[in-house]
Amino acid sequence: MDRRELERELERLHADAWGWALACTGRDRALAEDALQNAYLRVLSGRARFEGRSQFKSWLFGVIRMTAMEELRRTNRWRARSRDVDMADASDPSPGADVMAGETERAAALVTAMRALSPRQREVLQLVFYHGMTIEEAAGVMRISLGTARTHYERGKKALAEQITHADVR
Amino acid sequence: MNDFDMELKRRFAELRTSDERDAPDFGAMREVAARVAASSDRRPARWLAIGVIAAAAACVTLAFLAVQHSRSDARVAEVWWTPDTLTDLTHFVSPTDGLLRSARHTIETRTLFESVLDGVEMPVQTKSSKGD
Repeated sequence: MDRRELERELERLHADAWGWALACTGRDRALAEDALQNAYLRVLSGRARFEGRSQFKSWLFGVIRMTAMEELRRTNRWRARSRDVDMADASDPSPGADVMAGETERAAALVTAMRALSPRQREVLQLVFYHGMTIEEAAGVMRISLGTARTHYERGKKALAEQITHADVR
Repeated sequence: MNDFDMELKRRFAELRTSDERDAPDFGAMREVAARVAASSDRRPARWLAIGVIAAAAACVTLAFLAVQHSRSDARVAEVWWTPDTLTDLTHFVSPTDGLLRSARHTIETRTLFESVLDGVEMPVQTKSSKGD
């Protein structure tokens, strides 16, 4: 895949990639922008190379996921050094009020409900319901087995149903 | 897909629409990535040049040391391996050689015959004629 082709593919998937970067960074907009920018840099500079073993979208999501994890680690180290946040926040960053402000009420409720799930449950549900992937494709992005992905999917969906029902009753 | 799956899909679609509204401009991100990628493309060439210079310097240093070493070896050979020194070596006597010699002397046993009769002169018997 040459540079021009790569740029075309990235542009086509930009909205999807942005949503995935947000999910990978706990919906922290600044962090998601940094992660996505660095992921694009890796792809365009050739440091991350698409070998054609999977779909381009799955591969790109894998790159974004890895880059976001690095960004989170780097930010958490920096935050721990400056002692601004406690360890719980550092291990699982949550969006602030400003992040939530732009989202619709139902979307915000979904984001809140998703926060009760484990990171892997969140990831698999995001990939399947938000990005329209199959569980198998989601497993490829998350680098886990299909069986494990399926388990996280089922448990995550059950937990999310409880959270949403609970929120709706309130 | 059951009702809950459909409900989830609808909610995620709403979230997606909301996210898309706030998505950063792709063009700007691509520009930054392309600029950084171009500058990092030049970086390996610079590192390669530094590496070549360092390797050349190391080669010159090694060659210099090798020449120095071989010269000092030749000088040692000049000093030691002359015909005179060879002759000296064949006549070399160790400073502790005397100890070995005296030890050998000590453990040598003298023969009894030698020790008893050495230096003893037998008296010459002359015939005397009684009544001569």
